[in-house]
This record gives sequence, structure tokens and C-alpha cells, in this order.
Amino acid sequence: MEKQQLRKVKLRRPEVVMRLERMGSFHQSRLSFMRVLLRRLKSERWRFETRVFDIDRNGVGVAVYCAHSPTRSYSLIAFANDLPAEKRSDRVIATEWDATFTLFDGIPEASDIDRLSKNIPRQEAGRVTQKELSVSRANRSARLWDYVVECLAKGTQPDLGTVTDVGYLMRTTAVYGSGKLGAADREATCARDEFLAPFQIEMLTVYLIRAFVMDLVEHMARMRAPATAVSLEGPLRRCFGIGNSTGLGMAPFLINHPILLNNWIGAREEALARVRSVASVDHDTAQRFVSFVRRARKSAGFSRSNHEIQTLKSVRLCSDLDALLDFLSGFDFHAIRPWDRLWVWAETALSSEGQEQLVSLLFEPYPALVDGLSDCMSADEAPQMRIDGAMTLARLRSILEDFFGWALAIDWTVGASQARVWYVSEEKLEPRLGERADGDLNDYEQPLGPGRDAALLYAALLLRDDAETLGSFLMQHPEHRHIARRAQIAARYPYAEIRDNTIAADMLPIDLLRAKLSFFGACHFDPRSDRWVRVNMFQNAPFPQDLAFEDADDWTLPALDGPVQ
Amino acid sequence: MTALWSLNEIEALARKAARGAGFEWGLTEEAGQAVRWLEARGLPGAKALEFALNAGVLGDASRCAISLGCAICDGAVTPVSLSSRDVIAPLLLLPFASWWSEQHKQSLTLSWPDGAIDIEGACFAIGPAGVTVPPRADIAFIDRKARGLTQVNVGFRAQVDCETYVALSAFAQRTYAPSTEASRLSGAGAGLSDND
Repeated sequence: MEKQQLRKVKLRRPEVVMRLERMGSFHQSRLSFMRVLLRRLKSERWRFETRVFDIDRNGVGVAVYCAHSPTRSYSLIAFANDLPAEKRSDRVIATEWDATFTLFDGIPEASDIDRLSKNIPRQEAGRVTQKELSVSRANRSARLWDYVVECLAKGTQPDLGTVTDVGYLMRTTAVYGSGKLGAADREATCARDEFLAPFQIEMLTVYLIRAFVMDLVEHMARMRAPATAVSLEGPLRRCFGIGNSTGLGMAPFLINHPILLNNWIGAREEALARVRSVASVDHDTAQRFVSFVRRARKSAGFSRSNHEIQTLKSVRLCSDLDALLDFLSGFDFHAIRPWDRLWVWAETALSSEGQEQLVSLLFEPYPALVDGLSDCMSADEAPQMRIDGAMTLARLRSILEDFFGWALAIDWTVGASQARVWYVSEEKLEPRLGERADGDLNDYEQPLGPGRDAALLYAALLLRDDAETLGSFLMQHPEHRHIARRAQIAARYPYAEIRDNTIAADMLPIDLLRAKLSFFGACHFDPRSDRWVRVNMFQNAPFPQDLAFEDADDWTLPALDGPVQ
Repeated sequence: MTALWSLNEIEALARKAARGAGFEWGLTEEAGQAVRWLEARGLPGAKALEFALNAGVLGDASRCAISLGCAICDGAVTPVSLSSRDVIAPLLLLPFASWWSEQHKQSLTLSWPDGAIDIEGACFAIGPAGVTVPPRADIAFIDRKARGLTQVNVGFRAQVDCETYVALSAFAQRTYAPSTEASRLSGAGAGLSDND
């Protein structure tokens, strides 16, 4: 199908979409990478097996979970540990974890498991090879783990409210792919169909981790009390996702990968424009949509966060969804292009929280219009990094005016405009955000303030001849090379640049985290500060062995007649 | 002794090392890509970068292979105009020359006193003497007709001398801010317990 036929309304403008506050309001959708993965596992009828489960009564040992695609096999190798409580830290600086994992390319031999047993539990201190696709680790939720083991050992089911209050038994603190610690480079596997969409290796890793963690908790209960222990009942079992806590390490990613960011946002905006372009809507589709809105409202009413920012966002989301349901009760679905009319209403009636939730909800009834766009979300960035040195400085200046106009309007001499410094700490090599006023950080600043850099380039260009080429300018001014490249990319990729100041005093890193995590498909954002957030992954998703019999793509919002999540 | 690294690891190390040696960010991006390109083709890109950074070429862009390579790709200079120039770590010119050759559909030969490489777009062929990695050399570029070079094998691992790795890591180390109590507390999740 031609794009032109699918889309009658225009894409939203980058100036509207690429704002931090709005990106920090994104929700998971049909285009989220977890959902893309499960749709594929189901449609290709992947098979799953637990090949090894050798774990003692203290919870120490190894397990191997295999996933067989029609053409290949992948294996999660899990090393379980008995970690004393005082060693349990969420942060990159930890050195031991409750469980560590790798996704192996194929089915491991005993010698592979032996080699990996000496490396995976050490995480950053270990090395892996091209046979390993990811490296990850997780800690138990101390809140929930002991309680669930105890209940099951006694032969009772844990209380639903207590379970959903936390939502996971283990929380990953890192899922590394793309060549980290010696693992296979993304380029080595990205041509495989199953890894065409972004982050599929990482998502498959987490999905199999979830299956392992549920088996482990039941195993621990059985080891404790073989005579009385029971397994978790099906619906309750599905209420457990895998937690993830993510800090500043993830924040620079979207700034460092402008073309990838463009492709993610571009796919989402294309999908929105396609749905808004739908000419007419039948009764069933309209009812299905309303049902998704009700489910989203139910989910929104159950925000657990204690953080002020998120509490406010949740309140706003609830009132937005109430307003949406109210509006829908009198809405004429028979009019021409009803979704576009609904959208135009939402643009003024709802906050960005509600609008961005509506984007995701509008996708739900339209798999045929939306799902295929996930194929356009990865990016081969390297060839696009070349600078067009023949461009005149006049042209570059006009690009800066068009794409960085917002940055040229900022008074960069005011301290608050560049109050923050992104840098990497010596201690654990993780990205950090410091205050410029504290001094001593300027020399270590990472290039993560494109707005400021664009303004500096623009000022330099004003002193040069319009007809001069960029190549000649950069020979004398290599300090502008980085931002000149970004500017040329921005001119080709409309959603590549965030239209906000990423070094401003009031910038919130969690906006960047939420944007990225929503594309992963994470739910239940629970910020612990303005730079650290917890989420839940795959909660309520069918387990691998259930995929063949169940809908693989209807689990992200609670059922209207089921538990809240 | 050598060790195997992923290409992402080597590219990131090269980029950081170049930054630690004082290169502007934009140039470090090309330095990372150039080293990755060479290593993926079995050539000692990391070693060449070590030469470039040790030579402290920053103040002298006219002899720096990274700066010259960028100038070639940007169209600010032509390869042949660089002939007879004394260049630090000339192997680093190869990826840039290949990118230029691809774009301009013009075949080249890059040579220095004991090495010569024919370049036709993404393909290249090393002369019978094999490849040497001189810390510096007088180089020559000549335009020539294509002779139909075969595709070069591109891999996904970088085999790097441990000494080179350590040397580049020392440059990279300079990009990390020393930790202070304030910086620890400004980290994600800092000061918060994780036993819930």
C-alpha cells in the first residue's frame, strides 16, 4: 500500500512532538518493542523449552531456557545466586546480584556454560564472546520474594493486592547488548528477521528472564516444603512482570542516536496520521476503541508512584481519560474521519499526558495500519554520519534557523540556560549530570547540549562569507564539526532533534528515560527521583508456553473484568 | 599479546581516546569510525590511532591523518593534493580515502615508502609487501583506473594488542571526571536504598 493512500492528514510537526515534556508523557503502544517481539513469537510459532534447571535449595545454580524460531535457536542461560541482603544494590556500582543472565546464540554446550559461569556472574568484570548476544542481571524484590516463597511453601496463594503493589519478583538493573563486554555487535545479527526491529535481543532476554524467575520462585517454595508447596495459579502468575530500574545511563542514548530517534518517532507519527486518516469507522471498531479507553482509565487509576512529578502526571492522565470518556459518550462515530475529529478535540481539551495516551489507544483497533511500521524503526546510522562539505554556509545557516530556531531564541549567557553538565564519572564510567556552577566539570562535558552548540555555530557563521563551503570552514573550526553533522542530519530527518534545552537548569532526565522506556513497552513508570525510574516489563503477558493458545498482543492494559494489574 | 573486542567496544574506545588526547568531538566521531572500519577489515586501526595520539598532532592538523581524512571526505582537499606530505599514522587515511573513492567513483592508490594500497570504493588491495603501520611517513595519493578489486571480507571482531588497548584506555581515562562526593550524590539512584 502506498503511504499516500493511507494518510490524508499531515504528520504532527516536530516542534510539537519533540518537546521533552511531551516525550516524557509517551505510553507503550502497538509499536513498542516488547509487543513487536511477542507478535513475532506467536505468528512464527516459536517453541520454548527448559533444557536445564539445576538449582539447589539455597537458590544457587544454573538454568537454560531455549527459544526456537523456525530457523534458529536462542538460549537464556541464568545463573542464580544466594545474595546477602546488604549486597543488594540497584546501581551500576554493585558487584553481585541475585541472578545474572546471557542470551546465547544457539544452544550452549556444557563447555559454553562452564565458560560463562566464570564470566556472567561477574558482569562488567567478565568477558563474553560473539556467541553471546546480551548480558544482564537482576535482583529480587525483597518486598515480595520472601512473602511469595513463604505463601507457596505453605500451600496458599499470595494476596493479589500485595502482588500487584510491587508487580515483580525480580528487577533487572542492566540489560546490555550491542557488543558490550565483548558480546556480538548489533551489526552481526541485525539482518536476521527476528532482530529487524530495535532492541529485540534485549526484549527476548527479559521475556525469558520472566519465565525463569517465576519457575525459580515456585522451585524455592518446593525445596522449602515439598509436602505442602503449590504453584502460582495461572491468572495470578501473570500479574508478575519483570521490574527494571533505569538511571542516567540511558538518558543520553536518544541524543546520541538522532537517526534512530527519528525513526522511532517517525513510525509513531506515521501511524497516528494513518489512523486519523481513516474515513469511516464501523460500530465494532468504535466499541473496541472505547473499551481500550476504559481499560487505560482503569490502569491509570492504579499509579503506585510516590514521586511528586509522577503523581501529578497520573492525576492529569486520569482526568484526561475521564474527559475523553465523557466526550466519547456523545461522539458521532458516523461522521467523516471521526478519529481526526477526536484528535483535533484532544489537542485543546487534553494535556500532553492524555494526548499521548490517546495516540497509543488510537493504534489499538488498527493492527493492519500500524504494526508493519515496526519494520521501519531501526537505523543503519554510520553511512548517514558523513558530512556534506560542499554545502554553503548560507545553506547551513538557514538549516539552523529552521531546525534550531528554538535554540537561537535562548539567551545562552543566562546561567540557567546551561546550568547542567553531562559528564562521565571516573568511578564507574556512568553518565552523570552535574551543576556547571560547581566548577571543574567543563573539561569533561559530553556533547549532549545540541541547542547550545547550534547557537555557537550560528554565531560563528555570521562572521563568515555566505558562499564559503562547510568543508573549508570545518578545516579551520573543527570545534563545530559535531553540531554541523547534527544539523545536516536534522535537515534530512525531521524528528532527529529534541526541541528543548538538554542542559537547562529545569531539564528533567526522566523525560528522556520515559520516552525510551515507552518505546520498549514498559508500563507503570515509578520515578524515584528526577533521574531514576522504575518500570514493569511484560506484566500480564502470556508466558512462553501459553503463547500458542492466547492472544499475544492484548496484555498491556488490564481487562475490564479482571484485576487492576 | 592480543585480545578480541567487539567493534562497538573498539569504536567507543577510539572515540574516547581521541577526545582524551584533545580532539574536538566531531573529529573523535570520525576517529572512532575509521578505527572500527580498519579493525573490521583485519587492519591495525587501533595501533594506528595510538601512533596518532602519541604524536600529539593536535596543533598540526596538516599532518594529522584524522583531520586530513575529514578534509578529504568534506571535499576541502583532494587526495592527490596531499601527495608528498609527511603524515602521522597514514594507515588512518585509508577509510577516508575509501569513503571518498566510493562517493566520487574514482580509484586511488595510497602509498608510503614501504606500503601501497589500491582503493576502489569499498574495495581495497594491499600490495605484495603487505601492510606496514608506520608511525609517520611521506605519503602519496594517485588517481588511477579501476581494475575490479574483489570485495574485502568484513568481520565483527577487533584483534588488538593489549599494549595498544592499555595506551588508548589511558587517553580515554582523561575524559572521565574524578569522583567527588557531590558527583556520587548526583548519580542516578544515589543515596537511595534498594532493599524494597
